[in-house]
Amino acid sequence: MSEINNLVYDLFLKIRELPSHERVAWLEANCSDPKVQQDVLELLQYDIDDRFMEKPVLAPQDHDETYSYRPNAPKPSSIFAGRYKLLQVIGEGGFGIVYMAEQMEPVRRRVAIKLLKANMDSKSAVVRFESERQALAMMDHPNIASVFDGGWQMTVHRFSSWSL
Amino acid sequence: MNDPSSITQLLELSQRGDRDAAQKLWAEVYDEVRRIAQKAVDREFGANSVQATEIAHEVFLRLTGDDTLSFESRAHLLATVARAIRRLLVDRARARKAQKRNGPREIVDLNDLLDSPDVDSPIMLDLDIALNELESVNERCAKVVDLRFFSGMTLEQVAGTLQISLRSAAGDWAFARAWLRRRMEQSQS
Repeated sequence: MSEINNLVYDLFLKIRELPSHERVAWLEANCSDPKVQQDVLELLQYDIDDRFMEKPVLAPQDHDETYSYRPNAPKPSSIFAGRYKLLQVIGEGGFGIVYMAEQMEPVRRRVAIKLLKANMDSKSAVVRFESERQALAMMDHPNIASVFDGGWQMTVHRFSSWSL
Repeated sequence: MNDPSSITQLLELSQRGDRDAAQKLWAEVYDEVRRIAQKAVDREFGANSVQATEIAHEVFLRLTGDDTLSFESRAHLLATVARAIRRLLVDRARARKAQKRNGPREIVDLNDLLDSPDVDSPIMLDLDIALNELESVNERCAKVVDLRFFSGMTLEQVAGTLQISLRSAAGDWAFARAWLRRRMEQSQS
Protein backbone atom coordinates (compact mmCIF):
# COMPACT_ATOMS: atom_id res chain seq x y z
CA MET A 1 0.00 0.00 0.00
CA SER A 2 1.54 3.33 -1.04
CA GLU A 3 1.82 6.21 1.38
CA ILE A 4 -0.81 8.25 -0.43
CA ASN A 5 -3.30 5.38 -0.43
CA ASN A 6 -2.64 4.90 3.25
CA LEU A 7 -3.27 8.56 3.91
CA VAL A 8 -6.54 8.59 1.96
CA TYR A 9 -7.70 5.53 3.86
CA ASP A 10 -6.92 7.06 7.27
CA LEU A 11 -8.47 10.42 6.45
CA PHE A 12 -11.57 8.79 5.01
CA LEU A 13 -12.21 6.71 8.11
CA LYS A 14 -11.72 9.71 10.40
CA ILE A 15 -13.72 12.20 8.42
CA ARG A 16 -16.77 9.98 7.99
CA GLU A 17 -17.22 10.02 11.77
CA LEU A 18 -17.56 13.80 11.77
CA PRO A 19 -20.78 15.78 11.29
CA SER A 20 -20.97 16.83 7.66
CA HIS A 21 -20.63 20.58 8.28
CA GLU A 22 -17.27 20.09 10.00
CA ARG A 23 -15.75 17.88 7.38
CA VAL A 24 -14.26 20.28 4.85
CA ALA A 25 -12.65 22.48 7.48
CA TRP A 26 -11.25 19.46 9.28
CA LEU A 27 -9.80 18.09 6.05
CA GLU A 28 -8.13 21.39 5.18
CA ALA A 29 -6.61 21.52 8.63
CA ASN A 30 -5.35 17.93 8.50
CA CYS A 31 -4.19 17.54 4.94
CA SER A 32 -2.32 19.94 2.70
CA ASP A 33 -2.36 17.94 -0.50
CA PRO A 34 -5.30 19.13 -2.64
CA LYS A 35 -5.31 15.90 -4.63
CA VAL A 36 -5.68 13.81 -1.50
CA GLN A 37 -8.35 16.20 -0.24
CA GLN A 38 -10.31 15.79 -3.43
CA ASP A 39 -9.97 12.02 -3.34
CA VAL A 40 -11.26 11.81 0.22
CA LEU A 41 -14.21 14.12 -0.45
CA GLU A 42 -15.09 12.14 -3.54
CA LEU A 43 -15.06 8.86 -1.64
CA LEU A 44 -17.33 10.40 0.95
CA GLN A 45 -19.89 11.02 -1.79
CA TYR A 46 -20.02 7.29 -2.37
CA ASP A 47 -20.13 6.40 1.31
CA ILE A 48 -23.89 5.97 1.29
CA ASP A 49 -25.64 4.09 4.02
CA ASP A 50 -27.87 1.90 1.92
CA ARG A 51 -27.91 -1.75 0.93
CA PHE A 52 -25.11 -1.63 -1.59
CA MET A 53 -23.26 -4.97 -1.29
CA GLU A 54 -24.77 -5.49 2.14
CA LYS A 55 -26.16 -8.87 1.24
CA PRO A 56 -23.58 -11.51 0.41
CA VAL A 57 -23.84 -12.94 -3.06
CA LEU A 58 -24.62 -16.53 -2.07
CA ALA A 59 -25.84 -16.35 1.48
CA PRO A 60 -28.34 -13.85 2.77
CA GLN A 61 -27.54 -12.36 6.15
CA ASP A 62 -29.06 -13.99 9.22
CA HIS A 63 -30.56 -10.85 10.64
CA ASP A 64 -32.29 -10.04 7.43
CA GLU A 65 -33.73 -13.27 6.23
CA THR A 66 -37.01 -11.82 5.02
CA TYR A 67 -35.60 -9.02 3.00
CA SER A 68 -35.11 -11.06 -0.13
CA TYR A 69 -38.83 -11.32 -0.60
CA ARG A 70 -39.39 -7.63 -0.25
CA PRO A 71 -37.86 -5.91 -3.25
CA ASN A 72 -40.28 -7.19 -5.86
CA ALA A 73 -43.15 -7.95 -3.55
CA PRO A 74 -46.48 -6.37 -4.48
CA LYS A 75 -47.11 -3.21 -2.52
CA PRO A 76 -50.07 -2.77 -0.21
CA SER A 77 -53.09 -1.22 -1.98
CA SER A 78 -52.18 -2.88 -5.29
CA ILE A 79 -54.66 -5.26 -6.88
CA PHE A 80 -53.44 -8.82 -7.08
CA ALA A 81 -54.67 -11.55 -9.45
CA GLY A 82 -57.40 -9.24 -10.65
CA ARG A 83 -59.60 -9.40 -7.62
CA TYR A 84 -57.66 -9.08 -4.39
CA LYS A 85 -56.81 -5.69 -3.03
CA LEU A 86 -53.80 -6.01 -0.77
CA LEU A 87 -54.31 -4.01 2.40
CA GLN A 88 -51.31 -4.50 4.62
CA VAL A 89 -48.51 -6.90 5.44
CA ILE A 90 -49.46 -8.92 8.49
CA GLY A 91 -46.54 -11.25 8.61
CA GLU A 92 -43.44 -12.36 6.86
CA GLY A 93 -40.76 -14.94 7.26
CA GLY A 94 -38.62 -17.42 5.44
CA PHE A 95 -41.72 -18.65 3.66
CA GLY A 96 -42.79 -15.43 2.03
CA ILE A 97 -45.16 -12.62 2.92
CA VAL A 98 -48.68 -12.68 4.32
CA TYR A 99 -51.03 -9.81 3.52
CA MET A 100 -54.43 -8.93 4.74
CA ALA A 101 -56.47 -8.40 1.60
CA GLU A 102 -59.93 -7.67 0.37
CA GLN A 103 -61.47 -10.02 -2.13
CA MET A 104 -63.63 -7.92 -4.44
CA GLU A 105 -65.52 -10.61 -6.33
CA PRO A 106 -67.55 -12.80 -6.48
CA VAL A 107 -68.09 -11.87 -2.86
CA ARG A 108 -66.52 -9.00 -1.04
CA ARG A 109 -64.68 -10.25 2.01
CA ARG A 110 -61.50 -10.07 3.99
CA VAL A 111 -58.93 -12.75 3.26
CA ALA A 112 -55.36 -13.47 4.13
CA ILE A 113 -53.04 -13.96 1.20
CA LYS A 114 -49.77 -15.76 1.43
CA LEU A 115 -47.32 -15.01 -1.32
CA LEU A 116 -44.41 -17.22 -2.15
CA LYS A 117 -41.91 -16.17 -4.69
CA ALA A 118 -42.14 -18.70 -7.49
CA ASN A 119 -39.07 -18.37 -9.62
CA MET A 120 -39.87 -20.09 -12.84
CA ASP A 121 -36.31 -20.11 -14.08
CA SER A 122 -35.47 -23.10 -11.98
CA LYS A 123 -36.67 -26.56 -12.87
CA SER A 124 -36.87 -27.77 -9.32
CA ALA A 125 -38.83 -24.69 -8.27
CA VAL A 126 -41.37 -25.39 -10.97
CA VAL A 127 -41.63 -29.00 -9.88
CA ARG A 128 -42.05 -27.99 -6.26
CA PHE A 129 -44.70 -25.43 -6.94
CA GLU A 130 -46.48 -27.69 -9.37
CA SER A 131 -46.70 -30.45 -6.79
CA GLU A 132 -47.88 -28.00 -4.15
CA ARG A 133 -50.53 -26.76 -6.52
CA GLN A 134 -51.67 -30.30 -7.22
CA ALA A 135 -51.78 -31.10 -3.54
CA LEU A 136 -53.96 -28.06 -2.99
CA ALA A 137 -56.19 -29.01 -5.89
CA MET A 138 -56.59 -32.52 -4.53
CA MET A 139 -57.48 -31.26 -1.11
CA ASP A 140 -60.08 -29.01 -2.65
CA HIS A 141 -60.19 -27.14 0.57
CA PRO A 142 -63.02 -24.62 0.61
CA ASN A 143 -60.98 -22.09 2.53
CA ILE A 144 -57.73 -22.26 0.66
CA ALA A 145 -57.23 -21.29 -2.95
CA SER A 146 -54.05 -21.08 -4.91
CA VAL A 147 -53.34 -18.73 -7.79
CA PHE A 148 -50.29 -17.72 -9.76
CA ASP A 149 -49.75 -14.13 -10.71
CA GLY A 150 -46.71 -12.27 -11.90
CA GLY A 151 -44.21 -14.87 -10.79
CA TRP A 152 -45.77 -15.20 -7.36
CA GLN A 153 -47.60 -18.18 -6.07
CA MET A 154 -50.45 -17.07 -3.96
CA THR A 155 -52.60 -18.95 -1.53
CA VAL A 156 -55.75 -17.31 -0.26
CA HIS A 157 -57.00 -18.15 3.21
CA ARG A 158 -60.38 -17.17 4.46
CA PHE A 159 -60.28 -15.69 7.89
CA SER A 160 -63.17 -17.79 9.15
CA SER A 161 -60.96 -20.86 9.15
CA TRP A 162 -57.72 -19.22 9.93
CA SER A 163 -56.52 -18.00 13.25
CA LEU A 164 -53.94 -15.29 13.04
CA MET B 1 -15.10 -24.67 10.37
CA ASN B 2 -16.48 -23.65 13.68
CA ASP B 3 -13.40 -24.79 15.50
CA PRO B 4 -10.47 -22.69 14.37
CA SER B 5 -7.95 -24.63 16.42
CA SER B 6 -8.74 -27.93 14.71
CA ILE B 7 -8.11 -26.45 11.29
CA THR B 8 -4.88 -24.90 12.39
CA GLN B 9 -3.85 -28.25 13.81
CA LEU B 10 -4.83 -30.14 10.67
CA LEU B 11 -2.87 -27.64 8.61
CA GLU B 12 0.23 -28.17 10.69
CA LEU B 13 -0.07 -31.95 10.50
CA SER B 14 -0.70 -32.01 6.77
CA GLN B 15 2.24 -29.69 6.17
CA ARG B 16 4.38 -32.25 7.94
CA GLY B 17 3.16 -34.84 5.46
CA ASP B 18 0.34 -36.40 7.48
CA ARG B 19 -1.95 -37.76 4.75
CA ASP B 20 -4.76 -38.45 7.13
CA ALA B 21 -4.75 -34.85 8.27
CA ALA B 22 -4.68 -33.63 4.67
CA GLN B 23 -7.80 -35.61 3.92
CA LYS B 24 -9.56 -34.31 6.99
CA LEU B 25 -8.59 -30.84 5.90
CA TRP B 26 -10.36 -31.29 2.58
CA ALA B 27 -13.40 -32.45 4.47
CA GLU B 28 -13.24 -29.14 6.35
CA VAL B 29 -12.96 -27.21 3.10
CA TYR B 30 -15.96 -29.07 1.76
CA ASP B 31 -17.89 -28.28 4.92
CA GLU B 32 -17.03 -24.63 4.58
CA VAL B 33 -18.18 -24.49 0.98
CA ARG B 34 -21.34 -26.38 1.86
CA ARG B 35 -21.98 -24.12 4.83
CA ILE B 36 -22.02 -21.15 2.50
CA ALA B 37 -24.47 -22.84 0.15
CA GLN B 38 -26.58 -24.26 2.93
CA LYS B 39 -27.18 -20.84 4.42
CA ALA B 40 -28.78 -19.80 1.16
CA VAL B 41 -30.80 -23.02 0.90
CA ASP B 42 -32.11 -22.63 4.44
CA ARG B 43 -33.65 -19.35 3.48
CA GLU B 44 -35.69 -20.99 0.75
CA PHE B 45 -34.01 -18.84 -1.75
CA GLY B 46 -35.95 -20.30 -4.66
CA ALA B 47 -33.81 -20.53 -7.74
CA ASN B 48 -30.99 -18.87 -5.89
CA SER B 49 -30.63 -21.81 -3.54
CA VAL B 50 -30.27 -24.16 -6.48
CA GLN B 51 -27.64 -21.88 -7.96
CA ALA B 52 -25.88 -21.63 -4.62
CA THR B 53 -25.63 -25.39 -4.25
CA GLU B 54 -24.46 -25.78 -7.82
CA ILE B 55 -21.86 -23.11 -7.25
CA ALA B 56 -20.69 -24.64 -4.00
CA HIS B 57 -20.15 -28.00 -5.68
CA GLU B 58 -18.39 -26.45 -8.61
CA VAL B 59 -16.14 -24.45 -6.31
CA PHE B 60 -15.22 -27.55 -4.35
CA LEU B 61 -14.43 -29.50 -7.51
CA ARG B 62 -12.19 -26.71 -8.70
CA LEU B 63 -10.37 -26.50 -5.39
CA THR B 64 -9.79 -30.24 -5.17
CA GLY B 65 -8.70 -30.33 -8.80
CA ASP B 66 -5.93 -27.83 -8.15
CA ASP B 67 -2.79 -29.80 -7.26
CA THR B 68 -0.75 -26.72 -6.61
CA LEU B 69 -3.01 -25.63 -3.80
CA SER B 70 -1.72 -25.61 -0.26
CA PHE B 71 -2.85 -23.61 2.72
CA GLU B 72 -0.61 -21.67 5.04
CA SER B 73 -3.21 -20.88 7.64
CA ARG B 74 -6.88 -21.04 8.44
CA ALA B 75 -7.27 -17.48 7.17
CA HIS B 76 -5.57 -18.45 3.96
CA LEU B 77 -7.86 -21.43 3.53
CA LEU B 78 -10.99 -19.33 4.06
CA ALA B 79 -9.71 -16.60 1.77
CA THR B 80 -9.00 -19.21 -0.91
CA VAL B 81 -12.56 -20.50 -0.73
CA ALA B 82 -13.93 -16.96 -1.02
CA ARG B 83 -11.66 -16.27 -3.95
CA ALA B 84 -12.72 -19.49 -5.69
CA ILE B 85 -16.37 -18.47 -5.41
CA ARG B 86 -15.56 -15.11 -6.91
CA ARG B 87 -13.57 -16.65 -9.75
CA LEU B 88 -16.40 -19.01 -10.57
CA LEU B 89 -19.01 -16.23 -10.66
CA VAL B 90 -16.78 -14.17 -12.91
CA ASP B 91 -16.26 -17.13 -15.25
CA ARG B 92 -19.99 -17.69 -15.43
CA ALA B 93 -20.63 -14.04 -16.21
CA ARG B 94 -17.93 -14.09 -18.86
CA ALA B 95 -19.36 -17.22 -20.47
CA ARG B 96 -22.80 -15.66 -20.58
CA LYS B 97 -21.42 -12.51 -22.09
CA ALA B 98 -19.64 -14.51 -24.80
CA GLN B 99 -22.84 -16.38 -25.58
CA LYS B 100 -24.76 -13.18 -26.01
CA ARG B 101 -22.14 -11.48 -28.11
CA ASN B 102 -24.39 -11.11 -31.11
CA GLY B 103 -27.48 -10.25 -29.13
CA PRO B 104 -28.46 -6.90 -27.68
CA ARG B 105 -25.92 -5.31 -25.37
CA GLU B 106 -26.50 -6.39 -21.82
CA ILE B 107 -27.25 -3.61 -19.39
CA VAL B 108 -24.97 -3.58 -16.39
CA ASP B 109 -26.81 -2.18 -13.45
CA LEU B 110 -25.15 -1.20 -10.21
CA ASN B 111 -28.46 -1.78 -8.49
CA ASP B 112 -27.82 -5.48 -9.01
CA LEU B 113 -25.63 -5.21 -5.95
CA LEU B 114 -28.29 -3.57 -3.83
CA ASP B 115 -30.79 -6.03 -2.46
CA SER B 116 -30.66 -9.52 -3.82
CA PRO B 117 -27.38 -9.84 -5.61
CA ASP B 118 -27.90 -12.10 -8.58
CA VAL B 119 -25.04 -14.57 -8.88
CA ASP B 120 -25.37 -14.37 -12.65
CA SER B 121 -25.51 -10.63 -12.97
CA PRO B 122 -23.09 -9.12 -15.49
CA ILE B 123 -22.10 -6.68 -12.72
CA MET B 124 -19.86 -9.46 -11.36
CA LEU B 125 -17.35 -8.76 -14.13
CA ASP B 126 -17.17 -5.06 -13.22
CA LEU B 127 -16.96 -5.87 -9.54
CA ASP B 128 -14.09 -8.24 -10.18
CA ILE B 129 -12.14 -5.65 -12.14
CA ALA B 130 -12.75 -3.02 -9.46
CA LEU B 131 -11.76 -5.46 -6.72
CA ASN B 132 -8.51 -6.30 -8.46
CA GLU B 133 -7.69 -2.59 -8.50
CA LEU B 134 -8.70 -2.18 -4.87
CA GLU B 135 -6.29 -4.97 -4.04
CA SER B 136 -3.39 -2.84 -5.23
CA VAL B 137 -4.67 0.16 -3.26
CA ASN B 138 -5.42 -1.71 -0.04
CA GLU B 139 -4.98 -5.44 -0.01
CA ARG B 140 -6.70 -6.03 3.32
CA CYS B 141 -9.82 -4.17 2.20
CA ALA B 142 -10.10 -6.42 -0.83
CA LYS B 143 -9.79 -9.47 1.42
CA VAL B 144 -12.56 -8.19 3.64
CA VAL B 145 -14.80 -7.89 0.57
CA ASP B 146 -13.98 -11.44 -0.54
CA LEU B 147 -14.84 -12.88 2.86
CA ARG B 148 -17.84 -10.68 3.51
CA PHE B 149 -19.46 -10.57 0.09
CA PHE B 150 -18.42 -13.83 -1.55
CA SER B 151 -18.22 -16.09 1.50
CA GLY B 152 -21.05 -14.44 3.37
CA MET B 153 -19.18 -13.94 6.65
CA THR B 154 -20.33 -11.45 9.23
CA LEU B 155 -17.91 -8.62 10.01
CA GLU B 156 -17.17 -10.35 13.34
CA GLN B 157 -16.17 -13.51 11.48
CA VAL B 158 -14.10 -11.51 9.03
CA ALA B 159 -12.28 -9.81 11.90
CA GLY B 160 -11.64 -13.19 13.55
CA THR B 161 -10.39 -14.73 10.33
CA LEU B 162 -8.00 -11.92 9.50
CA GLN B 163 -7.08 -11.45 13.14
CA ILE B 164 -7.89 -7.78 13.18
CA SER B 165 -10.22 -5.82 15.44
CA LEU B 166 -13.87 -5.53 14.59
CA ARG B 167 -13.36 -1.79 14.29
CA SER B 168 -10.66 -2.29 11.68
CA ALA B 169 -12.81 -4.76 9.76
CA ALA B 170 -15.73 -2.32 9.78
CA GLY B 171 -13.42 0.49 8.63
CA ASP B 172 -12.02 -1.66 5.82
CA TRP B 173 -15.52 -2.58 4.73
CA ALA B 174 -16.69 1.05 4.69
CA PHE B 175 -13.67 2.14 2.68
CA ALA B 176 -13.96 -0.77 0.26
CA ARG B 177 -17.65 -0.14 -0.29
CA ALA B 178 -17.20 3.54 -1.12
CA TRP B 179 -14.13 2.87 -3.22
CA LEU B 180 -15.74 0.09 -5.27
CA ARG B 181 -18.88 2.07 -5.76
CA ARG B 182 -17.01 5.06 -7.08
CA ARG B 183 -14.88 2.90 -9.35
CA MET B 184 -17.83 1.02 -10.81
CA GLU B 185 -20.00 4.07 -11.25
CA GLN B 186 -17.24 5.96 -13.01
CA SER B 187 -16.53 3.09 -15.35
CA GLN B 188 -20.17 3.05 -16.34
CA SER B 189 -20.39 6.62 -17.48
